[in-house]
Amino acid sequence: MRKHKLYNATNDDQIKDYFIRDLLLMQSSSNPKSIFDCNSHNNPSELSGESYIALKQFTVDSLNLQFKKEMCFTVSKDESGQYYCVLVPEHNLDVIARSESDLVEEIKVAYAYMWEQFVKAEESILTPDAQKLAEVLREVLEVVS
Amino acid sequence: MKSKKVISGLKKKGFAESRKTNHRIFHYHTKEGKRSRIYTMFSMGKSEDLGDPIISMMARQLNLNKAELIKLIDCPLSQDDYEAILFEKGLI
Repeated sequence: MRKHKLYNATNDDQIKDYFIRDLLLMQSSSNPKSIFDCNSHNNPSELSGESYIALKQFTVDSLNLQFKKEMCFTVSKDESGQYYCVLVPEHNLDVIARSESDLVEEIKVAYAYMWEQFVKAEESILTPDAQKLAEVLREVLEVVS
Repeated sequence: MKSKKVISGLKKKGFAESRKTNHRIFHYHTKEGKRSRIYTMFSMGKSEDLGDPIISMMARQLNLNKAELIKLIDCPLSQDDYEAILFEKGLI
């Protein structure tokens, strides 16, 4: 009796695992996540075979920033096929470059700029939408000394 | 499109220029003087002619389509018209 129960439980878990995996594959092929936690067990880019850039800590003009969790950015090609792109609308990030190494620099500069312009700014000088963006950035990024 | 033309067009429509590393950044400030989330950035190494992919990226960053961006730079789209577009999209 006990064995039977155990068998059923394992079987249910397998079904659940297959279901989640299929769901992720469907999501990643139709609408790939543009940014995700690199340490997540369900890495959408690994499942879909897309390339991605992993970023944790970086420095731009003596400003040291780090993502609270190592973040992975999904890399795609633009319509012309000449440029690599990363687009993360929720972070107001839209960068393109000729090479993946240049793309990494573009991402770093964009976050450093947004940190200075939005997160460090007095709320009163920002539009409401820029204030919301500052909140989002504050949740994922921090300064390190 | 020539980068000089783009830069001068943006500056006339409320974009403030700043520099970071080797990038030129144009950030939109509303007529009320508030700093919006809208900015566009390109590296100074980019050639004098900004190709189609760069123009497309700039248009996305400024929340316009390509035709609207060209109008913004060429003048028919005034700063008031641009703010009306951003307001409609809930961005200012």
